[in-house]
Amino acid sequence: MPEYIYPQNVEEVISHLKPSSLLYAGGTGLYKRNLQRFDCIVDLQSLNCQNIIKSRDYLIFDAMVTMAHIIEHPEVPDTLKDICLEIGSTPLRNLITVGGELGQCPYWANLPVYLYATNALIDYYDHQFEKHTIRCRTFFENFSRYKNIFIFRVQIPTAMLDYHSISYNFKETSFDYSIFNYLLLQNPQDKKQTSITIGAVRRFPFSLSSLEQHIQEKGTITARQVKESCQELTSAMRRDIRYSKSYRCEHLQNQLCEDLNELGVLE
Amino acid sequence: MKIQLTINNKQVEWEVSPTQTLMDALRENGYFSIKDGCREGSCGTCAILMDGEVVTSCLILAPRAHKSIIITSEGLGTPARPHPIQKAYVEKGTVQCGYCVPASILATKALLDKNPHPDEQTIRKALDGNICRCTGYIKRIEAVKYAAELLQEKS
Repeated sequence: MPEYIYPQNVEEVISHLKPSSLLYAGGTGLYKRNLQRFDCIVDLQSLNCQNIIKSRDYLIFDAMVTMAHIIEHPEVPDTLKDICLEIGSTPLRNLITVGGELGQCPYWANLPVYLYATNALIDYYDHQFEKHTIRCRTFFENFSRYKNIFIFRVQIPTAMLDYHSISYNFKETSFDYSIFNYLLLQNPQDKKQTSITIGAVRRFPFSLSSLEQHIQEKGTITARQVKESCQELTSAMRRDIRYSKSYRCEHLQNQLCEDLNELGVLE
Repeated sequence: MKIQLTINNKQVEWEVSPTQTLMDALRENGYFSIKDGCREGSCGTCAILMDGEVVTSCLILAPRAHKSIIITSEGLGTPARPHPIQKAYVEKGTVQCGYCVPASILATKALLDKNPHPDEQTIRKALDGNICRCTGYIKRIEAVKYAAELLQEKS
């Protein structure tokens, strides 16, 4: 039977960073785990790290900030609130935490895709008590390297918060295979500030770089280029998502065309 | 291990296992308004109010409830003196098999405590974690609106 620990400080959490310990954040994924195999369960709630702070350059979220905290916080932009509102249901949003969302790789959902799209910073401690800061994209693309760490904070660049954002979900029969897209365009007049990210649960986000590059170079794109990029992306998704279907590609490209047209980028 | 908590205004001390869910601990101690549904946070029948927030007790380990304040449907009213929300659910015909109702009532309480006059969209969002297979979702919305009126009259 594991020992249950209420750590009083960060040092105590770090002293338990090993494969036989379980860091207990929001806990919504615990039902999938065999808890008996751990030596100890470290309850992060006792750390009281639930602050949201806006500095000049970053909007900072402590690891134990829940989706409900984000939705209710006055400093959080509506885009991020909408994304958090799409996660789970009310009782779950009261439990799901920022740190837990990142820690449950590779079962990532909406919030990590947003963090990827905005290329947020992740602050973490390793088991040697060393503090590190990495970009979200580095974390997602190399997540197997970051198994026994304590993510204590996430920082979103404030410049990215001003981005115009469109997000949508493709509802499938199973939540596990929903695919969604974030299109961030800071200013339709300044086409260089563009980021298009596609995400899928069970897989780290895909960046639609070819499309992004085209908008940055030319300022506009054609429907044909959108179609080609979506096809390229869907074939990449097929390798990872068992039930990906061609109609999703069509849906994705139609939606992208609609949104890009609205933003005056589509030729 | 031992945990201390306040449940329905009563202080208790329970012996729990580190891996036991709060739902199981509550039911073992006689709080049967908490239903054992899906055990993965999808159905919402095990919902409780923990420190004022509605949460699914099947996803919480019992030791996390140490020093917390919990409210279950048992703590809201009695058959003779029902809480206005319970009264509204009965009068609007929102109860059929009753399995989802205790949790649904708590979700309603959490909503009305924060927002005494919610619009329909807000009600739907607040109850999105409570699945009902009998009466459907229209009567529930009517009940929440009626409960808001009853609570306003009472205040």
